[in-house]
Amino acid sequence: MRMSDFVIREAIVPQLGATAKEGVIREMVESLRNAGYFKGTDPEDIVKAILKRELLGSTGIGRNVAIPHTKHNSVDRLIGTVALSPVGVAFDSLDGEPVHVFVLLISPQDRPGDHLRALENVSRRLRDDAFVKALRQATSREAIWSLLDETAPP
Amino acid sequence: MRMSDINQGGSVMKQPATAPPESAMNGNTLRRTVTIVNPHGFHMRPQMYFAQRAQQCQSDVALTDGSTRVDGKSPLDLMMLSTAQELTVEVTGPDAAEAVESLAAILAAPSADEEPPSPKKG
Repeated sequence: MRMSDFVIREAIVPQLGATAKEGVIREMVESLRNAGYFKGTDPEDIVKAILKRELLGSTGIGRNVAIPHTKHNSVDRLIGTVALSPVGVAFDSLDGEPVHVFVLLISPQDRPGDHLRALENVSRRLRDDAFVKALRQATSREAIWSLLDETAPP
Repeated sequence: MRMSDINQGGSVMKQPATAPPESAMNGNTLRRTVTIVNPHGFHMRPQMYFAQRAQQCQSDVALTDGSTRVDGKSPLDLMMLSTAQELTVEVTGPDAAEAVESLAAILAAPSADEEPPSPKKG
């Protein structure tokens, strides 16, 4: 699996405008909506679901990355996007550090396996400091996509 | 809460396939093998609870699915085991006895909503 298998290229956000948690999540959801997803659904519904999940425990897992996520019936397969914040966003992370790399995952209601496989894949990439460094230095959607299209080292 | 294959002391029923002997293994190493019964699997919430509890330990904490062995104190490392259906926690150090039980309980919980009390409250 590669991150490009589920990240929606057109929804990648090379530079987030938002600087706070809720705004960042809304910006990522809007980006997916503009890429053609969530038709017939109020995107606020999805934003609320993601924020509700954050209340159960921050998805800021440390090392300047966060993996906000939710299940939602508006998708029939797992989709995601990647967003970068050069300035960093306070996200109640486990290590107290701001988040610079966001990976948003939205999966169908009844397929926990897809979500877990994506978590494994995302974690293998984000553990790679060289990968995260390259991501943070990328300034275009194309550059980010190129990185996501690489396979994780064994 | 259920556990399976509970091991006492240093004996193990399942040896991680490729795990090399670690330098910390000459200490007091305790292991528990747990079947994941949460229908959502070993997802981010139990991973975070596990990492937070492991970080409170003086001891070293490792988690393995039999082929991949990771640092139990790192949420990003734990996430590499998200699809595992059976996990073995290994705790080596002075507080291993207490820690291995509470870490195994986190893995064995049927629901993240029934997690043991947060370390910050406990």
